[in-house]
Amino acid sequence: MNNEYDYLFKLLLIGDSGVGKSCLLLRFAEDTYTQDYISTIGVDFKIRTIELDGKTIKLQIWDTAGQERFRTITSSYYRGAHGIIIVYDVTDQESFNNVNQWLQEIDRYATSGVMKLLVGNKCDLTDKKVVDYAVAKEYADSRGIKFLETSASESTNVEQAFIVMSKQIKAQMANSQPANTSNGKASVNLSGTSVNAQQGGCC
Amino acid sequence: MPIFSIYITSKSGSLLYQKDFKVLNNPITKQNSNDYLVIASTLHGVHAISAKLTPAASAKNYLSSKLPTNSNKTGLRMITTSQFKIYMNQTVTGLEIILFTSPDMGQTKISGIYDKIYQLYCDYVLKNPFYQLEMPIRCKLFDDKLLSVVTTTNV
Repeated sequence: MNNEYDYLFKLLLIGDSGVGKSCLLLRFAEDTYTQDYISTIGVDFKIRTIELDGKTIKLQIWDTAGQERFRTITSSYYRGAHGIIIVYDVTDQESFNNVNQWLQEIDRYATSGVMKLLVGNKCDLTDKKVVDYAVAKEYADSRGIKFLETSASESTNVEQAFIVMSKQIKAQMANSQPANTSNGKASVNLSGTSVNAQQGGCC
Repeated sequence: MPIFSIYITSKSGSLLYQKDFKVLNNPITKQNSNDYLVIASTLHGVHAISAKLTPAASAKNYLSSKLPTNSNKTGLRMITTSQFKIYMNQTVTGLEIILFTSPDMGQTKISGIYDKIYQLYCDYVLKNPFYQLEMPIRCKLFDDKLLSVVTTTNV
């Protein structure tokens, strides 16, 4: 195992039951697709190794169960996640309405400042589509979250969704490195006004 | 009473360190690196969930220690099979040390080993200026010291 990879990122997939989280993941990790619906129990893991800026990164993706009855269990998995991908189904208005609730879950359980990405899955089903791209985009922008529409069955944007996320996480990590202070943001401001000038001259 | 392998996971359940030791008649075969990640995170999940089954005890533990990450008292501690035992211990900061041992390994001996491993982690991982928190441990000195601890236990 040693030195096979430099970084290990924990990514989390959340969203309503049946929106296609597991399919999205299957497409990304193994580049396959299945029509069969098997409900995830608790959590499932998929791992994919990618190269980014000469570093080998393992993305360990925690695919959580969307069903309500697993909610107490899945909440224990939020901790320490580097990135969270919220998935909804573009043919199911309800799943989009629930995105707000999922964001609340994130605020409650996840580390603050965690990378978030909103994904509208099943975008190949254009005739059944009920959630408009513009509406979702506007919603995501208002929350400061990146947004993508994907299709696990036709493999549209799936790769991007995960790569975009990993790049952001890696960039965030580089910024938090103490050695990287060359951008000068953390420097002390020495050009303040003199203390004497502000005193009222009481003596 | 040999130790077969060691897994160290972060408080979020990511595998930080894994090592299989050369032991005669080791029943556990080598896995690929992805499997190690899955095993570690699954065990972490089971440990966390088992702590949630006893909310009253967990809450009491939290009130006395004020450390939400410490589920050691209420979480799963050991799994036994006829071939091996899995011992789990979570430190107060959430770091989890998981040991795969032979079935005859006892609880008293294991706690001494936990202490030693945690000490090595503090000295050779946390004090290493190049180590990035919550990321895989790639420290040569830690490797060497850990190996010598395990070797002395295994003979």
